[in-house]
Amino acid sequence: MPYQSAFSQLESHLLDKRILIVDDEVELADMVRGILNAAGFSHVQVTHSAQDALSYCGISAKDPRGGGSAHATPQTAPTLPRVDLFVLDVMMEGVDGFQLLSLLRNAPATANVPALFLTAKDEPFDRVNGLSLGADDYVVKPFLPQELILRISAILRRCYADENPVLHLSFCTVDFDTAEVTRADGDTVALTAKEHEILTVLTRNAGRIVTIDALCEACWGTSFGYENSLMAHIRRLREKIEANPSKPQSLVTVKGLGYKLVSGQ
Amino acid sequence: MSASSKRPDTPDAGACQPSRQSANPTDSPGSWKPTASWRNEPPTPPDKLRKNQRRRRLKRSKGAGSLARFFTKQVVWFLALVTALLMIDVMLYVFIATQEMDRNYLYGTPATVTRTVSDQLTADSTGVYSLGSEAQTQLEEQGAWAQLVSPDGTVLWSCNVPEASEEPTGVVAREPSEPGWGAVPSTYTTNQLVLVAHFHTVNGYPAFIWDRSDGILLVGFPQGSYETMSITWPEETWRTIPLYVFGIILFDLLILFAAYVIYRRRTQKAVEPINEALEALSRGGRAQLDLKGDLQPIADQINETSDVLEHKDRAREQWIRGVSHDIRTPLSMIIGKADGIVSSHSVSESTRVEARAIRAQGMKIKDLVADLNTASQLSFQSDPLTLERVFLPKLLRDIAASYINSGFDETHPLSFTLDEDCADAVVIGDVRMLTRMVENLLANARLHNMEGCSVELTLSACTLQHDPGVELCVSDDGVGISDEQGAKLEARLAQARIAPDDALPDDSGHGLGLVLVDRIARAHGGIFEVRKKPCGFSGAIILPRA
Repeated sequence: MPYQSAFSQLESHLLDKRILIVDDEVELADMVRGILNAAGFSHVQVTHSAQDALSYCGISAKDPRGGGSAHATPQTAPTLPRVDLFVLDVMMEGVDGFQLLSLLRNAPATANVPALFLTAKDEPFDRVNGLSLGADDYVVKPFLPQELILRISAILRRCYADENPVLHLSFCTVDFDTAEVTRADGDTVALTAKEHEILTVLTRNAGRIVTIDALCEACWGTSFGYENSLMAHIRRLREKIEANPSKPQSLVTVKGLGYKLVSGQ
Repeated sequence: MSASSKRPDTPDAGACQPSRQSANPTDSPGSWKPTASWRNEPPTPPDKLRKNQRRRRLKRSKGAGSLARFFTKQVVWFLALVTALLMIDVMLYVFIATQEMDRNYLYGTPATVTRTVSDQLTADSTGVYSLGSEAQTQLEEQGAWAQLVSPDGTVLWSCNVPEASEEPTGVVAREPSEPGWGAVPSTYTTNQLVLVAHFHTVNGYPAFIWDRSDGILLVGFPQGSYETMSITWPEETWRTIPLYVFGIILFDLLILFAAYVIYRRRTQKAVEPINEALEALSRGGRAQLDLKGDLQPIADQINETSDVLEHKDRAREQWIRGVSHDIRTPLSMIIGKADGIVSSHSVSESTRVEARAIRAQGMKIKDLVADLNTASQLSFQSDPLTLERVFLPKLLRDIAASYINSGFDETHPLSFTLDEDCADAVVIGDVRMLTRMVENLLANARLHNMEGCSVELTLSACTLQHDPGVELCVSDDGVGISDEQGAKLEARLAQARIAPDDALPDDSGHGLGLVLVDRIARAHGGIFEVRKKPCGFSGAIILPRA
């Protein structure tokens, strides 16, 4: 698994998620599957048209061009493969990726399944269009495999964080359900609401830099004027999760930019 | 891959070697000094046409608004016109005068006939008058008659006098209805002679007189052939009449001048939109004219031309967009497959080096495609920028974070420095374009130092033409740029500023990337500078602060 090194922070249960790639470029779809397999994802499926994807999910599209009149057919549920993430191309024969996503969003079975567009369309309008349809990310071709993997893992972490509410760091474990930190020496400390929020955002993007602005926006809804508050919260958070808060190992500062969470499982 | 053989110790050396490695190996990197003119005035491009274009544009922008000069020019023009008119008038007058002189004072005119008759009318010793044959002939030719009236009023001699049914009582009948019309008296009283001399007529016959020692010679011409007017005005009036005439002419000239100026202004006003439209067209913009009247066909023609050009631009933009779209999927394959080989443990190290080179070149094409799209957007879209308030520190942190998150910092570590006085720096700009601009500078540092270098991104305060500005600088400690390459890059940027679409790649090793940086900076009212550095390359963008 050549990409695993980039990926040590990804919790193992996320690697079991079922990913469906929909792309009419057969070779490219196969390559993406190869990349994801190499990164450790074991359940990656490929379909080459929107119709195939819909029938794979057990959705019948009566009027594919109508964009929205789709319903799940009452099939025998257990045989249906479950999909945890869609990777969709936009430019496809027949039903395109945008239409496909709105069909998926209208079907109860797939309404809440995260989706990522992987497309050659690079117009600002396309990006806005894709994201407004409810896509979780929009990656423009050509892409670096690493980038795709990081974005997919960020989506999976965000959407399936609840399934694994315990974060393992080098000095402690954090239980997001109870907002408690259990330190290596056995002490238990409670997280405040803001600390919980900050840690959640950092965990979702574990291994990547989260800028000061993004953290402030996530916690206070604006990126202006909260930098000092953020620093104070980070300092208190470090006192709870680091062995030596002045030499942080898990919550590291990237000078001038923001913070990065290094999970140490 | 000549460069990789030069540097066998660096695995990435063969990946992307721009020509600056091979251009002039004796040049020490970074010793190039920008010239003084580099900052504000682009050097003269080789193309003469473009130079002229620029000069014309300058001239146009200078000429507008100088009202005083406009009027001086108009007055000079008008004075020249008046002088020319006066000269022509004098010439015409001389011509007409000579013509009239010829007609009136030569053979056959009343004066000459009268004089000839007087000369040739002689009395012999017995007091019998006889007329010379020449005078006789002239009288007959004119259909004229003659009388010699003695001082006491009796007619001493007469010739060709029309016969009257009865002797008229007066000499001043001026209309056929008046009594005595057409009759010539056979005796004159003194009063009558005075009246004849005063009115130059004898009952309708234009009469001319000649003073002789023996009396008064009267020569009468056919009725209606001559008309004499005598005007009597006070002496003062005679003196002021020329002034009146002069005043009237001056007044007329003033009216003419006003009409001329108004007409000129009106013409200029009518032509102005056409001029503006043509200028817009020459700048690659759009022209839409709505003119009425005589100029409408021209306006229609310009609109049509604009539509054709716009259509061409749109087609070109769509073509570029289409090509760049179609190139993305195969490029994904190249990058993906090469990346797979780089990450694979089952191939030899040399294969991985090759694959890394392929991946790097693929990423370079990716950047080029993005640049091409941005360039086409800047060139062909009438409103290429979506302006908003951009909080620069946030934007730069985002760019730097995604640079590091993409893993570029493994070989090219990036540091971001934000000056305290720039912590709240805001500019008015297009986020996508500004991002593209900074990314291009970062990519430039990376692509020219494939074997690795550290990159510094700084944001500091500065002034831009006496207004507060921000300076955004990307500098690296890599191989830098030679004097020669610096000059070439400078020339290329300068050329791109004048003719953006003609900025063809040269061998300075810098592709479309830095040209775009320059264009985006300029589109935001800023400037781009390439700076001398002891080692490495440094590019600074200065933008006006909002």
